[in-house]
Amino acid sequence: MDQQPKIIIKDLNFYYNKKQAIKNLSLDISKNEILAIFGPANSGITTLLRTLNRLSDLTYGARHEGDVLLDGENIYAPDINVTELRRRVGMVFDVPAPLPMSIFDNVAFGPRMSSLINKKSDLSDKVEQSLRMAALWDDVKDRLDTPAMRLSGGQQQRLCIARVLALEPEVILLDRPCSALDPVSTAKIEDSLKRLSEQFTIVIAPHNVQQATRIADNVAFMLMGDLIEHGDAFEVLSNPKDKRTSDYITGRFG
Amino acid sequence: MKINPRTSQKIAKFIIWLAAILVLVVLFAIITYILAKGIPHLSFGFLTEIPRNMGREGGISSTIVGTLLVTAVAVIIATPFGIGTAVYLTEYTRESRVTRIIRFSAESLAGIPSIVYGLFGFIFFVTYLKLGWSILSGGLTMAIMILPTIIRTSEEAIRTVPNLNREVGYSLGATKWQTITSTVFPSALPGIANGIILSIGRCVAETAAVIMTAGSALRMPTSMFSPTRTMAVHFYILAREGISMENAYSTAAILIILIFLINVVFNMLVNRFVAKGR
Repeated sequence: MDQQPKIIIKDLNFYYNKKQAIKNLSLDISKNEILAIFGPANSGITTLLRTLNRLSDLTYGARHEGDVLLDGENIYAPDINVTELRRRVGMVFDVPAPLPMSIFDNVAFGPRMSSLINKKSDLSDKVEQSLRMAALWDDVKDRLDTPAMRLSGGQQQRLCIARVLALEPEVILLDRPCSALDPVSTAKIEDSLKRLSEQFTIVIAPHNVQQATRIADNVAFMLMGDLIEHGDAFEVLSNPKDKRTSDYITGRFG
Repeated sequence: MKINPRTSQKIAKFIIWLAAILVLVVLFAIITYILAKGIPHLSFGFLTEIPRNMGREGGISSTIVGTLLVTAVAVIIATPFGIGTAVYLTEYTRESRVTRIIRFSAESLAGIPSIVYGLFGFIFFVTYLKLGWSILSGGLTMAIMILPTIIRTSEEAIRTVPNLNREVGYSLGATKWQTITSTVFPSALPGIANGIILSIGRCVAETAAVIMTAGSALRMPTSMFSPTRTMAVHFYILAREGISMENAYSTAAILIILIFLINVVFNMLVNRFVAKGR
């Protein structure tokens, strides 16, 4: 592919006060790939995801060095519109996080906030389309007005995916999205993600290596803030070059 | 001495039950006593007529209106300032010397006896700003008095909203203000409303500060600048000066019923709003 990468991370260092969470990390993410970044807890994976939509700005004492380019544009440039960036780079959290409002209002939240869609009928269409893409439409089409809190955990997480899709993002970040879910819900979400990768660039922190095996095109292994290994999912997972990667995959630590 | 765990469990349970029952008994005793003394003299006219002959005869309509207006002025003025301060303290600043000073000031304000607020209101609103004894002076004084309560309860309510709500808001491309209004407020609303209800209770029950700022006129108020007498003040004067104990109890009964009604209506409104999301 001669296309330029969707996201380029260049020499990124990230600190929480004095503690360094990401060490001199460079990584390219190409368009429409599913990249799974895996590694033990506290490896800086969540931090890395949060630097991609600048949600890391919200943490007090957080500081970074280096650049993150989205379509060649530095997202840390002073004139960047952060709310617009967060619309383009959507995020799904590790616990289902529906807002205390109806199913419809949850999905319509993003478009309403950014005044993306103003006509009421267009908004309904967008909500339906997003819920269909997240494979939730058939579950909820008759009760869009009920509070989102009443859905099951798996449904709530698919709702959160639909909510991100309604933003018409370019990149979707998922931070261990299935860690609170049962295997059936997990399978449903993985199916949706595979279909979605045709349209979106997906960066996911899987909740285990098996999940990375099942869905990822490329994987990256992180340990203590370092990027240890990055490459084709099958190659890295079946034949890791670094001993630390193979130790982690085979369960010798972590 | 070692107490067997099952015995200590029983003792603890007994004490907790006793405490709860004691509270209920005292509450019901007071309410029943006042209602029993007050309700027999009640009539429709008592609610609709203005007091005559210093309150010996007639009703208490003007004091009901006065109470509602003073309370309304206080709540309408104090709520935006109180919630605004709470939002500033929780969302727009980090813990620092400034926030500690603001919080310390609010706590100190909460501890000041109401008569001191009355004196301040009298000097500042009544005399200096020449608002006279009026609903406005009384309401403004009450607003200052309830401000710390609203700040503290709102701050507490906003602080308990999970940070995840905010992150969801930001991650969906909402601005800071949109995040606060659309993801933080809905979750904090019941707590904020609780503070407002408490404040309404304090306004309705206040006597000392109101006498000094709103006066004790029995006429039906005609504007925000009319002096008025609230129900609590009316009750106090009737009982204190031995004018009419019967009417004093009846006023107290109406006062209790009014507070009860305000609580019920307010809770219904909040629940209706919150129910949409739960």
